[in-house]
Order: sequence, then C-alpha cells, then structure tokens
Amino acid sequence: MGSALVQEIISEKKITDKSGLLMLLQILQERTGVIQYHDIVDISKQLGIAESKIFGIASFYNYFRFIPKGKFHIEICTGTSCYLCDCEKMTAELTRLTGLSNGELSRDGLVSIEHTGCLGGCSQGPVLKINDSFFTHVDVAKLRNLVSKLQSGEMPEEMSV
Amino acid sequence: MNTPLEINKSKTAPSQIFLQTGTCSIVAGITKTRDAFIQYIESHQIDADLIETGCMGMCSNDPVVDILIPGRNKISFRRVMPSDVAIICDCIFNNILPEKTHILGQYKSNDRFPWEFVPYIDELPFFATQKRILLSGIETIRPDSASDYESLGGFTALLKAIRTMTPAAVCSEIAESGLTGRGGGGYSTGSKLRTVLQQHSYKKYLICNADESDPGSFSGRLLVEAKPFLLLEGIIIAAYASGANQAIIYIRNKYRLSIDRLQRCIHQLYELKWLGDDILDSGINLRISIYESPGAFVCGEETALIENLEGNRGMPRTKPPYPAISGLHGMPTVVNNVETLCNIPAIISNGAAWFRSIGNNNTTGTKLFSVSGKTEIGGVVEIEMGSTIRQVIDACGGPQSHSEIKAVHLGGPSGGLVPVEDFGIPLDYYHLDKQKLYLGSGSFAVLDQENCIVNTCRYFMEFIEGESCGKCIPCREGSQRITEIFKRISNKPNDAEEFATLLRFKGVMQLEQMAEVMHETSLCGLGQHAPNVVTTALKHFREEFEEHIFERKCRAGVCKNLKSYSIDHTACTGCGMCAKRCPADAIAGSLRQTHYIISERCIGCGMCMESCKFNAVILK
Repeated sequence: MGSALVQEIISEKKITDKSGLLMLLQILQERTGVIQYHDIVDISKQLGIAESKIFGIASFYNYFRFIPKGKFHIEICTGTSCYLCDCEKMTAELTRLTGLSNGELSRDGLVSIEHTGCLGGCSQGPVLKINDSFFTHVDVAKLRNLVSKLQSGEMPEEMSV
Repeated sequence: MNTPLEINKSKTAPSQIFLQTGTCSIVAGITKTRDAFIQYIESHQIDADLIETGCMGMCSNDPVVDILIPGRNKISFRRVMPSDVAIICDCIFNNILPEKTHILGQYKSNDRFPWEFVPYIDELPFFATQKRILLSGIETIRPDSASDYESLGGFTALLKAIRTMTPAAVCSEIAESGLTGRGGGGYSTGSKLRTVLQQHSYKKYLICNADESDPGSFSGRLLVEAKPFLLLEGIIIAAYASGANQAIIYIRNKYRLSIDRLQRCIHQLYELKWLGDDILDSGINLRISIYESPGAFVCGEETALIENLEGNRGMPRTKPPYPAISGLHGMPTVVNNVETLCNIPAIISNGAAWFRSIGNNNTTGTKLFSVSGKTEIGGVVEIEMGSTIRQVIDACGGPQSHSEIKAVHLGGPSGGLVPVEDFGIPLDYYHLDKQKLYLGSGSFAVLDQENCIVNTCRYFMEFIEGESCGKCIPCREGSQRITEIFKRISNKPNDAEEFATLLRFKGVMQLEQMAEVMHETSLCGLGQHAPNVVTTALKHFREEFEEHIFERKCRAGVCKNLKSYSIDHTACTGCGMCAKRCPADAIAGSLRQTHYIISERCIGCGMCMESCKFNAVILK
C-alpha cells in the first residue's frame, strides 16, 4: 500500500528530483501520519536518492515523525509564553502520568505525546492540544482528569478558559 | 479550522456581528462562540451578518466579538463564551447594555449614537499608546476580501508604484525611508532590493519569510491572518522594485489559517490579473507561490531557508556570496520577512518623508511586539521605534496582580534579558546594540518573581541545543556544554561536598568564556546570538546564579531539584493525607504516627505541602 501511495504522490505532483522531496514527505505524512522505513526505501528507489540522505533530510525537521501517532495525540506547547506559565510542570506531570516522554507512543497505541513549539494560544497558557481540540489554562488537576479519560479510551470534552 | 465562506458573504444587513478570528481566538474557542451566534440569529430571526475579521491583537481577551446595531456605535465584547452569547444578544438587540464584565469598549463614529458609560476603544491605554499603521483597520475588514482591503486604502500604493514610478525610484524611496529588515537583521531594505535590481539575470526570486519559528513571536502570523492582502501588495511592489519574477511565501505548515487565507487571496489576485503575465499592462510577470515548510528555527536565517527551499537540510551557507547575488538555485534572491514587506505599501503611498517622521533619529517606523508572560494584557502591539520598554509594558496594562516584573526577555532565543533598571532604554537598533541587545523578530516575554533566571536561561539554551543545525562546532558543541552547565547548577546535589560547589562555580566561569567563543566564531546569526541570554543574565542577575550555586536555593521556587521537603515532627499529626496524595510514594509512616519523607524518592512536586492542613511540611 505504501509503495502505491508514494508512486501516486510522485506522479500527482510531478516530482522528478530532490527539490520535490520535502513536499513529497510532507504530503506522505499528512496522509498517513507517519514516515515509515519502507516509504523511505520506496522513495529512494523512485527518485534515485540514497536512503541515508532521505532520512538525513527528514530527521532534520521537527515536523516529520517516524513513530506513528496514537489514537489520542497529545501536543503540549513548550513555547516561551507557555514556559512562563510553567508548562514544564505540565510536561513532567504528563510524563509521570503516562510513562511517555516527548515523541513516544504508548504500547496500546492509545496515547502519543509531542512537545511542540507555539500552538498560538499565547495568553491562555499552558495550552494542550489533543487531536484537534484545544485545552487552555491547563493545571495539574485538569491534566489528571484529561489523562484518565484518555486512558479509558474516551475523548474528553473541550474546556476552554 | 476552515473558515466557512458563507459567513463572510455580505456586509449589507442592518446589524453586523464581527468575530475576531485568528489562531489565538480559535484556541480560545471562537468556533463554538460562532456556532452559538448562528444558532441565536436563526432562532430569533435577527437580520444580522456574521463577519469574520482578523484579531486586533488583544489576545488575552479572546474571543473578542464586535456588534453593530443600527444607529448605535459598534461595541466590543471580550471573552465571549458560547454560554454568554444569549445574554449579550438579548440585551444588545433590544438596545440595552449587557453586564459590564464582558464590555471592552466602543468604537468612535460621527453619525451613530454612543453607548453611555462605555469607554472608547482608542482611548484604552492599550490602543492609545500604540501607533497602529500595519494593524490599522484590522478589526473591520474581512481578511480575504479585496474590496474590504481597498476600502482601507489598499492597492493605491501598488498602482502608484507600477504606473508612476520606475523600479529604481521605488528602491530609492524605500531606502530613503530608512526601513530596515524587521526580522532581526536590521539591514536596509531599500539597498537590498537595489542590489538585486542591479543584477543581470533572467530569473530573480523574492522570498517572504513568514515562518516564525521563534517561540514567543506571533506578530507576523497575526498580520498575515488579518491582512493577507497587505502582505501580497508589499510583495508585488518589492518584486517590481527588485525585478523579481517569482515570489515565494515561505510559511510554517502548521499555520493552516494563514495558508488558507493567503491561498484565497492569491487566487483572487490572479483573477484580477494583478498577478501572472503582464500585470496591469506593465509588461511585468510575477507569480506567487506558497511553500509550506516543515519547520526549523535555523531556517529563519536566509541561506538556511534557501537550502530548505532547494530540498536540503536547512543549514546556513557561508557568506559571501550573499543571496542578493547568488541565492535560490544560484539566482539573485531577496529575502524579507512579513513585517518588512508589509511596511512597503505605506511608504510608497505616503512617501519616505512621512515614514521618517515616525520613530526616532536612529530607526524609523514602527515595530510589532509579541507581548507574552506576566502582563495584564498579552498580545500584539505596534509601537513607534524609540519607545521605551516601560511604555510597552504600560500599554499592556502593567504587571498582573500579585506579580512584580523583574525582567523582560527581548528578541526570542537569540535575545537577551533586560532588568527593570534598564526599562528606560529606547527600543531602536542603535541603543539596543550599545547594550548588546537584539530586537529579533519582536518577541517580548515578561518575567516576574515566579520565573527563575537560571531556569529561563536553561530553557532557551536547551531550545538552541535542539535547533542548532550542527554545521559549525562552536554552536553545536557550545550550546550542549552550556546546557549541561545550567543543568548542573539547577540540579540536586549528589553530595554536599565543597568540591561540588567548586565545580559549579567553575562552570559559571566557563560559561562566560564559552559564550564569547560562540559569539565570535559561529557561522550564522543563530549561533552568534545564542549566548546573549547567558551573558545578559550573568551581567544583571549574578546574585541569582550565586544563590543557586552556593546556597542551593532558587528564589522563584522553579528549580524543583533544589527544593527539599521535610516534615516537622512536632506539627505532624499523622493524618496520612500527604502519604495518600504523594505521587511518588515518597512518604512513609503509619496512621497517627509521625511521617517521613524519603528524599531519594521525592520529585519535589509540592503535593504534600499543599495537602497538609497542619503546616507540618517544611520547604528548604
């Protein structure tokens, strides 16, 4: 399946050489959520670029993931404003609650965690994003509620401010 | 996150509801507020238009909604949650003022009746201190409507430039205005454009850097979201001035709202034939494309950005040759950031002399600041160059209640810390340079007594460590070593020997040396400016470092590892509350007996202290 998708994107965007590589990788990640080893092998064969080179380019940028996202993908903002609102306490608490650190996926595939740059809620920090919903002014108690809901497989209700 | 277009369909109904929609208000939940308004309008059959505008910069009051009813001044509400919609609408559409807490102010007008006891928006300190040129009219126009933008006087500069001025004249007008790169470089924009104009090449590029990977900087994003046509007009004029025939907007792929709005605007310009072949019958061809970047901090550096566009790792090149001579694909290339390009239309329509009259002798124009942290209002402000730091803080309502501002971190990860004593420094390139400070892209983070200087330094150095591209050794190794030293300072002592203190002290001595080496020998701006935060912190907040090193104490209480908790045996009643709440099982003791904290297990979260009703937990 992976091979077909890579082929499809290449022909759709008419990518012929290295300059289209980043676009290809971005579209691939948008569609599948992750860049897997076999995708890199495929791209390498199709475009004639060494696998190591592709991995080198992809791993340089924060955006690309090599570990799949969980059912609930938690993004926690570590931008300056959220840092000033003590987001580090939240990241530490999140790690303690889930046993996962930045970029990891839980064994049951339910929860994955990512520390991101600014999410845009600079005056409502600390900000958390789970899949597409935002949670603002997160504190330890709120975080515990959220995580226990997530671990039981439910999507918590959005609660802004 | 997509903007439903039918919402912005018309501006003709008697009543209008303006929803200030930007990334910041989406996070604050404006989509739900919008749904509540739609529901209310439909169920009460009110003849009102819903209009989505950009955010006016008061991000901490989001979601902000402005309502205009016939005959009365437009009135602005803050923090409008879905549950507040019914109350506000019930009152306002019956010509009654709703409860005070939600009212932000009213807009002045000549022909409408004012609301009593409601302050005017432009008299609020937040707006009165600002000099809004780029941000003017932001709350009244639909971002993706060309006609709305025209009603603000848009496109006049473009027509003037293309119809009446030669490219060289545009370059000299911009050079004369004294406009400098707002991304941090501070290089004259006019001379940059002129250098590219003088190159002979069949293909020239103009790159707009809209990728704000600085943590704490969001002014460009707000501007693009609210006034995409302003940016596009600036790009077309700059392309005309430099002879570029291909413009690329380099933007972070996570800025979906900006990208969507820009795409719609670019599409409209192609349809109007203001883009494409032979624009406005001038014989000039220009194409604009959007490049969605996967994001890296170092790509703010122009040569790294070009490397990224060519499909490589975003590592800076050695200069010279400068991009203006040989940039993207070896062609002459102008790289400017959003704010710089957005300044160009106003300069062309009002003239260089007008622009020179704003700001001070050293730096002209205005500057956008992204204010975050411990001020009452957080958001984006546009301040005249040469204003002081204190003025910016005052505009934002001063410190939050219970907080006492101790420093401002200016200019993002490459910037430095400014202590309270220096808040009188005028914000212009000359004075900041003298203080070895750096304006960067206008990030303005306000720290108070709850923020630890040492930990803040560690945070920024860790960021630099992660974002350093690894090409040159001073930056790659230097940032790692500096982070290590900071960790050693703020970590729990393994043993309390004198020797360890000496090691930590030595670390600080080496910090200064290392910062100097990084500054002198790094290849690009990222590495050169990275140790700024360390040098300024050591200069102004030395006593806080000394406390961390010798007394092993963090006055802000942030460095968790330096805290040690213990239980006062006389006060403990043995209720067991702390042991129950402790997340790390670090408290031992049986019921009605004195409890003990096992220091090896303690993670310093402070739960025990919060939960103890007898104040038996002591923090050292």
